[in-house]
Amino acid sequence: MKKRNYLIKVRRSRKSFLGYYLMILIVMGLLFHLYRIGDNPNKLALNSSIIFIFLILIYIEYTRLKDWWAITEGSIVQSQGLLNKNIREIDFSSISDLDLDQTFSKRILNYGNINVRLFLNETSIKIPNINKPEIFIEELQGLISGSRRKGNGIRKV
Amino acid sequence: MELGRYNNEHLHFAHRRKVKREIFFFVFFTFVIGIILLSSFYGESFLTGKVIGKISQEELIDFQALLSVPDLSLEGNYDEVMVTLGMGQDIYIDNKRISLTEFENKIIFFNFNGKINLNKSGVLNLEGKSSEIKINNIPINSRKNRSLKVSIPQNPPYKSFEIKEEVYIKEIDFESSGKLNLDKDTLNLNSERIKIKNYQGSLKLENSRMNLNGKVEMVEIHGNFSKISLSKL
Repeated sequence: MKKRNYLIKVRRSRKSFLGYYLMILIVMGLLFHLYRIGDNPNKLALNSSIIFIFLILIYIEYTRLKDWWAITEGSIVQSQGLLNKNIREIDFSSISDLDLDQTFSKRILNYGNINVRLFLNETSIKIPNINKPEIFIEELQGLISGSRRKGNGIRKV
Repeated sequence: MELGRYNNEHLHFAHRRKVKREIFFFVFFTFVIGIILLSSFYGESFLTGKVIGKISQEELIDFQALLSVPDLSLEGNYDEVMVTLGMGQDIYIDNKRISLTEFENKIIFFNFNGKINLNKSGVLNLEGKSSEIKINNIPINSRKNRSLKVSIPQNPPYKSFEIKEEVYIKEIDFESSGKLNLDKDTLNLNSERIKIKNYQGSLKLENSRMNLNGKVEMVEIHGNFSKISLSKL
C-alpha cells in the first residue's frame, strides 16, 4: 500500500479511558494524602501502586496507538495492530451508510463510535471512541458525495 | 451469511476480551487500594506480624537471659514501648520538638508501629507512629484521633528500654557475656558467640544488660573449642 497524505487521521480518544485515569488519580490521591498526614504506606503498597499506574498507562497508550483510521480522497483506511499490522482500504463506492453512536456521557464529552456499513452487509468498519465524531462523519459524507458526483462511485456497465 | 456470523462472533469475543480486561484492572485497583489502606492502619508489619503465629508453641523452649547488649533492630507493632531518657534529650512528635528537662524522663509509646534501633553502645533511634504517648505521666494524644508521628532521631543514650511480651526476633547473632536459662539448664557465657533463633517474649535493656524472658526455637553457642546447639527437637 502506497504511503500518502491522509485528509483526516483519527485514533481512539483519551476520553474513552476516563475510568482508568480516574483510578490512577484515586491511587495517587490516596498516597499523597497518606504522606501528607504522616501515615506513610509501606514498600509493598508503594510498589503495587507504581506497577498498577505503569500498567494502566501502557495499556491506554497501546490501545490508542495500535489502531487508526484515515480518510483519503477516495477511500477509508483502517489499520489494526502495532507489531502485526492489518491494513484495510475500503473504497467509497463500497460504503452503503454511516451511523454515529453516542451515549449521553459520550455526547457531553464529545466523542463517539462511527459505524461504516458496506454494501456487502457482512463486514462493517467500526471506528470506536473518536473525538468530534460529528465532524468526522460530515467530512466523510462530503467526500463520499463528492466522489459519487464525479462518477467514481458508479461503474458504467 | 457465514461471513456475517463470523464477524458477529468475532465482535462478541472481542467484547468479552474487553470486559475481562476491565475486570482485571478493576480487581487490581481494588487490591492496590486495599494494600495502601491496610499498610496505613497496620504499618510495615501487617504482613510480617503473622510470622509469630506460624511458629508452633510446642517447638519453643522457655528462655531467660541476662546478656550484654547487641546491636538490635526491631520493626513491628507493639502495645507498649517504654524508654527512659536523660535530661537535655529531644523527642519529636508530629515534627514538633519536645525537649526533656527532667533528670530522668520516662516515655511510654502506646500502640507503637515503626522501627527501633538499639546500639550496643547504649544509643537509641526510634521512628514510627503511636496512638498515645506519655512523657513523665503526662499524656499526649492527637486531637483528630489519629496516630502521632514520633521519632527520636539523634541517637541519644538511653537509661532503659523495655517492651513487654510481644517482641519477635527472627535471628540474632552476637558475642556476649552473661547468663541464660534454657528450660531447666543454666549456661554462663564469657565473651562467646551466641545465636538466638525465633525468640518471642519480653525485652528489657538496662545498665548495659539485655534481659530476655520468653520462648525461643533454638540457641547456638560457639565456644573457643566447641559448639552447643539447643532446641526442642
